[in-house]
Amino acid sequence: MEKQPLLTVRNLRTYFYTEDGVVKAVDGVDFEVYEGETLGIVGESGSGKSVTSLTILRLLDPRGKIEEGSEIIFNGKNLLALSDDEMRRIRGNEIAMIFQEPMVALNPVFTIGEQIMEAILLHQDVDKKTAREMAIDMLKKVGIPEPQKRVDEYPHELSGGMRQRAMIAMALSCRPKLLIADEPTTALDVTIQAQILELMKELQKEYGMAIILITHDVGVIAENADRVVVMYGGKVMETSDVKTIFKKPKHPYTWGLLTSIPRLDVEQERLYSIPGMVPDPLHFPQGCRFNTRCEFREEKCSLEMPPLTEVEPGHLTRCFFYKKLDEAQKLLKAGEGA
Amino acid sequence: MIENKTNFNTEASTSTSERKVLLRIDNLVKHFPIKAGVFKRIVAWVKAVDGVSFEVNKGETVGLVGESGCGKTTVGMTLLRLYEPTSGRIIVDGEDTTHYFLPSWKAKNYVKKTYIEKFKQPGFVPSDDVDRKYFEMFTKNGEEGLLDYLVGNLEEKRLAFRRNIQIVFQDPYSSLNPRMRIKNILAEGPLSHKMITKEQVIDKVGKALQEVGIHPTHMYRFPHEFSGGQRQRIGIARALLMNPKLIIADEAVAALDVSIRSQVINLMMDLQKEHDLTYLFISHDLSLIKYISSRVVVMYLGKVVETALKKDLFEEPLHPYTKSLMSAIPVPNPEFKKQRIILQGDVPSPVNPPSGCPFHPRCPVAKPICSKEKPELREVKPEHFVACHFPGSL
Repeated sequence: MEKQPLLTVRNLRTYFYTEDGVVKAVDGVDFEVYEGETLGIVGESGSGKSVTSLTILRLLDPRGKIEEGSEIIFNGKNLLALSDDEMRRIRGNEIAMIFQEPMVALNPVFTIGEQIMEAILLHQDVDKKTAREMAIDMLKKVGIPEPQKRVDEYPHELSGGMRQRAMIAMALSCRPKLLIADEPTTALDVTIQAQILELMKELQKEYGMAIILITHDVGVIAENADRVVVMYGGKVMETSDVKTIFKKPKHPYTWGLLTSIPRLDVEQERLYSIPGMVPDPLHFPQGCRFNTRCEFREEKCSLEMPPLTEVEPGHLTRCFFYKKLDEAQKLLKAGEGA
Repeated sequence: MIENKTNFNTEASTSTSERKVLLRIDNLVKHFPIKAGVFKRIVAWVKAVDGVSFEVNKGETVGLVGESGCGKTTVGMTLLRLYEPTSGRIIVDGEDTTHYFLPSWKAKNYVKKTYIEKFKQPGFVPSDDVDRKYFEMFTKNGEEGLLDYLVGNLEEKRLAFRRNIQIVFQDPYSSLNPRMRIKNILAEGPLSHKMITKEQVIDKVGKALQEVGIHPTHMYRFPHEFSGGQRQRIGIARALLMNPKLIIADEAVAALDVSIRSQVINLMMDLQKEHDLTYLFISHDLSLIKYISSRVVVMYLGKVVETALKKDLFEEPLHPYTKSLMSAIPVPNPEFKKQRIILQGDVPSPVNPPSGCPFHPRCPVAKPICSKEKPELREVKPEHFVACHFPGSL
């Protein structure tokens, strides 16, 4: 039997109506998240990856509008059809989120304990005393030393890594089915990042939740995601399981991204660099959004938006000429061998 | 005696010509006071940089790597004398420059304390090139001669120092004056150093912009009209125009998007080849450091824990911290199997650094001695220095 997705996003479009014009931050995004898996969304600034996650939770800035025809189906419910009240019951309960900057995301005038208890009291039928115990329990689970003492501390008394742990404790306190982590480790040092990612993996195993991991760091994706969505200019450019996408990318942007980062595991003579600049979401180019920076561009690319097509089972790419990339890669490999 | 001296002389000249040390930092210390109370009494010291020594040779790129709070940026700032060092020496091209930005009476005191007192001791034998050079001068021209050489014409020395060492900052948004046109931002340095005349500005600035990949006609624009990557290119052009001997790049590409980062990195490497530049590249990103540098200095809590040629360091890291740092970096290859070392705890505060080895509370292989005795930076293999009691044990 085919697995049912936990979350299905279909033709999601989120536009921001600003004084300068319409910013099409998310412009037709499709993907699924299955139970227990980690879906990595990778993209540069302005690719629409964060707006996608905020749209799922309906936490948009008032200028942002989810366009007609967008669908977000979570556990059989269309989130976009829910009332604000119903949405509030899902947010923090069934879908939780952790943010990039824990110092900004946590409220500085409440203790860590009070903030975790707020979520528990809101969604679960327990008294304050039990909620406090649950909060202490959660802090212990996320590896905060002396949780009985820490529960009464304010965010500024914790280090960056500890704050991110507290955020995770808060997000997981209601055992969500889906956790959205938006650049959860970008503000942290690498040794702390390794701790936090390891913790998230452990808790995922224990709770069996699905994770959407949003990041610009392809290394983090490679080590933590099961499947990957590559976003560029508000669109999904490529999606596949993690091994395939790193081994045989089928979109020139993905390939460019992977070859332009310095790596520890291989020797590099010179880094590839994608020419040009990240496009301004107010003025996306005609046709394929990547065509102005693409090495394989043909005339067709600047006229038509390529559709997201399945090239291999489970491997979708938005490129007319992905075969040209295949050939180029083969040539490169042959060159390396010689 | 005379024979001895000539001996020193030849030794000194051969060793400098072979290695061509451009910059030598000798036991650099920078402590910041923490003040509290009505009278702003000093209650504690932040030991940001606590005895750092390393060398940068001509034409090479040295990568200074470490996590936030390890003191890597403070080293850069102190080097540039945007902070005055608490102690230690900064030697550029064989000349001690530590006292250049002090008022002349303080500079004199520094020279007396650092050199003359030492030289006056009977039976003094100089131990490094700089000491040797100054000692020779001292024996030849006396105290006054040496003082005149080191402290005379301070203003000129300062200007030369500023020309020779340039910096490219991390944040391209706050390092360009938003109210100045690019032309004026770039021409300010060379004009005030009288390196170019007003008539040459357009020509020189245009050439520099072209070199970093920005159209010369854009020199009349303001910084806000450029993207982050372009601004960083402008920052590089600004440094280049001074014809510097050394460029310090402090997290110069950290704020940029992945696809733009590699453009700027490649540009910096091309410029290095063309202009024979020397870089001190400060970064938290070990993969970037591996790509760009020829030698690497790893810092932890204000101290150098390991320094080696790039190849040696990445093939065989000897300090447990270097090794865990490497294993913590996510590798963009899902099929790459690596040894994972996850460090416990956070970086301790530099106000109260741990006793003994600063890394011992987090070190997976720490032994009792590590909390008692500070390990010295010692050469365990040719050009591979480690500050650890048990190098290579992890």
